[in-house]
Amino acid sequence: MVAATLTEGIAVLLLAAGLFFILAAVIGILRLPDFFTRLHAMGKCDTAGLSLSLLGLALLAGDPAVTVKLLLVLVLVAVANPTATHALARAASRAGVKVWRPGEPAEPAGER
Amino acid sequence: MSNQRRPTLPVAVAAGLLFGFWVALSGKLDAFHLSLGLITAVAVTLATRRLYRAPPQPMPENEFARAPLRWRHFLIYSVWLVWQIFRSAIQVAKLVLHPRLPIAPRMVRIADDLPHPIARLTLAHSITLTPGTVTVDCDDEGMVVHAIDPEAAAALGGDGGPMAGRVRAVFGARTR
Repeated sequence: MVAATLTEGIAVLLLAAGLFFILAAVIGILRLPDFFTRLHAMGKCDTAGLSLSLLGLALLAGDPAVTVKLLLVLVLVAVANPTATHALARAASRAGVKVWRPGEPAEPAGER
Repeated sequence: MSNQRRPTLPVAVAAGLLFGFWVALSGKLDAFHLSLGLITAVAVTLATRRLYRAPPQPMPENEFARAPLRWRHFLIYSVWLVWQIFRSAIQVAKLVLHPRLPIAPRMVRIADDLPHPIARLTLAHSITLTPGTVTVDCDDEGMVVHAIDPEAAAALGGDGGPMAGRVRAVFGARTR
């Protein structure tokens, strides 16, 4: 019983931390001024947020098969996220997307 | 040209492996789920067939391939990298929650002299996962990195900084 509540407590902490980073990623997308800086929010906060959430869910899953599947998703996220971040950055760079400089107006979200 | 690129894994074997993975994950052995798995495995294999082919030129790093990956360094490096991911997430969270949004992004070019494509891939991914930097492009002369502020750019140095040294340690220094 005590062990169960301890596991649940850790899981809740992991989920809360994960949600915090996902929230930070969303705020980053809205506040950051250009494509490349928004990539920082997606590539880093999202990876950390999703990983923590998945760890928390894996603790709560109960069924070992579900835990293993969640951990597999975790590995996929850890590999796919930096890859996708790089692919987006490279495509943007080759398409001639300019780097935002301090003082310039922000590129509106949703354009491009 | 693509005719000369021989598959490293026959399509049927690849589809079979994927199908086995599907069955292991689904755990359902009825006709509906099995046929769904089979269709998916074949479709995915055909769509990603390009990945199972060897690169057009034989890699010049075959000598390197004989030098085993240093597992102890690899383990230390992995743990360090997980820590970096959380450091950079915290850093980005701090930046975007800061009222003044204190960023000064720039593109920087670094020259890496890592000997092996996988070592370069590891460095490029590591740069993306460490605080303040995202690898944008990679060519024969080095990499182009987007740094979110001058400190992040300075931490890379001109050559990947301490991180390139860590990657070199994982992949063996003797090829240098």
